[in-house]
Amino acid sequence: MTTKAAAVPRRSTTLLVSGVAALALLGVAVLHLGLGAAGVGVGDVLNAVRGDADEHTRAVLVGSRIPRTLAGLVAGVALGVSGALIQGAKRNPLAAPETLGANAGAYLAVTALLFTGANAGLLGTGFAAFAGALLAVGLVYLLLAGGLATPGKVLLAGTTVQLAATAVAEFLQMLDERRTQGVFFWGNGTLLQAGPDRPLAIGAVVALAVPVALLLARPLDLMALGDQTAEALGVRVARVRLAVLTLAVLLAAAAVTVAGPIGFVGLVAPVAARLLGVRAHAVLLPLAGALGAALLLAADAAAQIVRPPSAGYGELPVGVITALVGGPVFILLARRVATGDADTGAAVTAASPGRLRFPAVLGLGLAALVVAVVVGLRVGDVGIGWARLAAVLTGSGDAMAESVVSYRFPRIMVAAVSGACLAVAGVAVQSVVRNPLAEPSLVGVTGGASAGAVLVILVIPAAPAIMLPIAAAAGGALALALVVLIARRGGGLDPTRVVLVGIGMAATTMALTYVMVSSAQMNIASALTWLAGSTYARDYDSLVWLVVPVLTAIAVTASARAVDLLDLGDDLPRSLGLSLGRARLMVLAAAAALAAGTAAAVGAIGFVGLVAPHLARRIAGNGTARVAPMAAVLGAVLVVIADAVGRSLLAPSEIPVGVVTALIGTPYLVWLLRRTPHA
Amino acid sequence: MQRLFRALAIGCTAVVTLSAAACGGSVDDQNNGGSGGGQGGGGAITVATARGPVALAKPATRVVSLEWVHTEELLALGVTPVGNADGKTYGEWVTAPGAALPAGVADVGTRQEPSLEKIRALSPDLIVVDEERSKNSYDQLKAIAPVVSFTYTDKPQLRHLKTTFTELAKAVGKEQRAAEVFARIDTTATAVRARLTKAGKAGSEYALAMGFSLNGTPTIRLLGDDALAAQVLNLAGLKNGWKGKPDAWGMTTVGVEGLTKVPASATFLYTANPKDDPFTGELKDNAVWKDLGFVKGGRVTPIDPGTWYFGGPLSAVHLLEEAAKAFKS
Repeated sequence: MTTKAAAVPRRSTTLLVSGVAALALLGVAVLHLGLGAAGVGVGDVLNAVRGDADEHTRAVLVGSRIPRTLAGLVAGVALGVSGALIQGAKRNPLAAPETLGANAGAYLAVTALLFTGANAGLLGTGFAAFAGALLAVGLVYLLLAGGLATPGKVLLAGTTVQLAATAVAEFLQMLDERRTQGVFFWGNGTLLQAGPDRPLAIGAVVALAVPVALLLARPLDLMALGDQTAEALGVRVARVRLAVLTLAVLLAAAAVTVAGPIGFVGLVAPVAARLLGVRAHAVLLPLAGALGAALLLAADAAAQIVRPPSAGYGELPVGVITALVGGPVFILLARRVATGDADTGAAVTAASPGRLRFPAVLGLGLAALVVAVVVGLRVGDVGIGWARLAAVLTGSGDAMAESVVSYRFPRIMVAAVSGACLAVAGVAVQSVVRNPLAEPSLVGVTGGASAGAVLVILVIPAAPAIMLPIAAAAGGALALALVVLIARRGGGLDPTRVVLVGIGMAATTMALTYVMVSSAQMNIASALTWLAGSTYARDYDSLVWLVVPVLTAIAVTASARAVDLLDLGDDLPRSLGLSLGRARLMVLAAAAALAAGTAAAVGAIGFVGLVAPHLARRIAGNGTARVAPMAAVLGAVLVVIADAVGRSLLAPSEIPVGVVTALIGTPYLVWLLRRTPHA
Repeated sequence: MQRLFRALAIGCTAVVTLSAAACGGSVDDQNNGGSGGGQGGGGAITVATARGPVALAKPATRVVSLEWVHTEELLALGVTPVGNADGKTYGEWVTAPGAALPAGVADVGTRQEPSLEKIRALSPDLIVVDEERSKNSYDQLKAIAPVVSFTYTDKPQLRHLKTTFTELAKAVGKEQRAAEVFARIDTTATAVRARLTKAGKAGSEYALAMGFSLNGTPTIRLLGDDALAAQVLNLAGLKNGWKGKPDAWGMTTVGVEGLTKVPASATFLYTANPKDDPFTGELKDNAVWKDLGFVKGGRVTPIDPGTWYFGGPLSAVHLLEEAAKAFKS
């Protein structure tokens, strides 16, 4: 990580930069005030400033424009300062409210509050957002407890928490379809306001928090020299860091309360401020705030220009624009960052393997799978008792029971095979990245697959169903190829950088997906279901899509020794005269085939690739030859159970299997990382 | 290849005996008792659907509906469906007289992913679906019973509704009744036109909206002339003041500022859940809202929240009656 001294820039530079930033913000704000459906333009705004406006213009400004611009200012400043605080405290240019999970935590809390139907008002919403953001960041810290918090690990943990929180929020939204579209919109961030009250109230909070942040500027400057130096200079690092992060979380929650979870502003603004040569936090913090506001308002202005209000489909959420801009910026930063993980050796350490021999353990796993399959056949919307089920299994069932089983069996098969493939994909990705938190969806495969599939739904609505999986697989493979291409620097393939670039790729492709989905308004419900991962109505035809993944999984298991070498880090294999670059590339390609092929069959199912390999290591010990088959069996069990839960919990309504795996995976994650502090 | 893999997949599982049940997908008890004997008189029926003609041996009597508009249409035809999707919320959104779902109609889950097992257990002889929603389940539904699928948004929507309604009526042997029901739209429109004329409101301008809010942010959907609801109101001589660019459904989604494009002289008709009415809630004190011509003129009229803009003939008649009331005619 860069630990450059907080050089004090010349006063003239500071003045120049501050002046330019202030002017830019002012210009963007005026432009933003001049955009909207009512035909009140920049000229009218300038006239109004001179006190020369008719009643109509004044009404539009007071009732719509000013609240919206104010919301952008408040949320932008909050995010910019929050990001600068976090980056200062973590000395990590990729850390930000969203990459620490704060935004998603706040979003989940607010969604849950809305879901209960409680009319909590602004105060209640704000508190919920703050509590949710604190919980999420706390969880990230639990995940990192004890270990060395390198930038790569922090971001992995943050992104994992973010995925979990977003999945749970999605589940709540799915329970109420008629609201889905609205939440979908808000869930991506919007500056639209009902009036000036909310931005003013939250603005007051932000206005109080920023001066407090400035009090922390000096300790932050010293901490940039390194923790030990700062301690020696009298900074109580742990205490300052806690205060800084709490304040940053408060600011992020304020931004979510006023505008929803907007990504990447908190990341890009401080980075931009640093690029302008500003290091001292006394200047950096307000400058990042101003740039954050300018960026957010510019993004909102761009959204309104690209898709003018009253253009039928409604507005483009501003958060999508910031992600479209911020995703690539994140990728560029990730490309440059020194991850600190390049030579740390095997990060995928196993807990002590149990006492049982591997064949016995695997046998137990298979037995569990059979039990899960049988129970899965038994439970569901229409009750068929054990006796009737047994009759079907022995070939003497009644017609009704037989046809019910004929619905359940193929989808259970698809669930099992998908789960197994995702688990092996997780094993593969984790070997390359040497980090047990790495998940196939984190390397951009799932995002690319979603974008590919939605593109087909959008461009060729009449496309035969067979096109969807093909497009998904192609999109996933393309995304991963891009990630690897970008992450490769000087021929080497830093494993952590792959994941970081992948996170940026995932954000970018998801933003693209949202743009497409929100243009095809009619299909939002079906697109959302697909994106959430669904085994609904899958029959034997879907198994065809899993042929390639299954063969890949077998290949990965068969070449276990080569995969194992990746676990050793760079030095040992190199000293043995082995080149890791090609092996990594092959294993990554395998992971892509596994994840994209599975996405083609069942959409995006998260957390299986994380939970199953981890459990497998706990049970079967290290070594790909053991972990891969064990993880495959556990992944199958997990998804079969998730499928059964999804079919029966709210029957006759279904919960998409991807949402259930996230609901199961999240508590597991908490439990697991509490128990293994060095994860 | 497909067949080979199917065999492989089944062979792999320990439960080999399953293959008979699973592979066959044998729903051979198709001629379920049901309530036999159609009123349409024996001859084969051909229904034109979004996926081409579907042949039925006799009019269907046990119908499962997977889209609200078709549930409403079946009820209008005097056919109570045996199963209906999203039944809980149907009653909240579709309250047109005659469209109420009788007790005892089975809920088969969501319109997007209805429960195949539940539908199978109902032993239907016809399944009515929306073409857009049923893409992933069509084949499996077809294995249960004949499926008729329709689109809703083909232009012009009102004429298209007549076509699909008539085709659905054919499937249940109620063509005659369908003509009568559909004609009620015209007769109601004529009656409403007369009432409007009498009240001096003939040819009035309107804007038709639905509103809801999310975390305090109002969202408004306005219906343009492409939308069925607007076309129905226009039949009564009313004039749609909303000219915004429509989406596939004929709607435009706007914030409060978009309402400035509604002509000041128009009457603003809207539906909103009383618990979440942005026009009496968040927007009440908003400067733009208070400045709107129809707000100043006191021409903001909520109509029955259960007036379903995307429904069938019963909803159309209900909308006309609600509009007539709104214009105090």
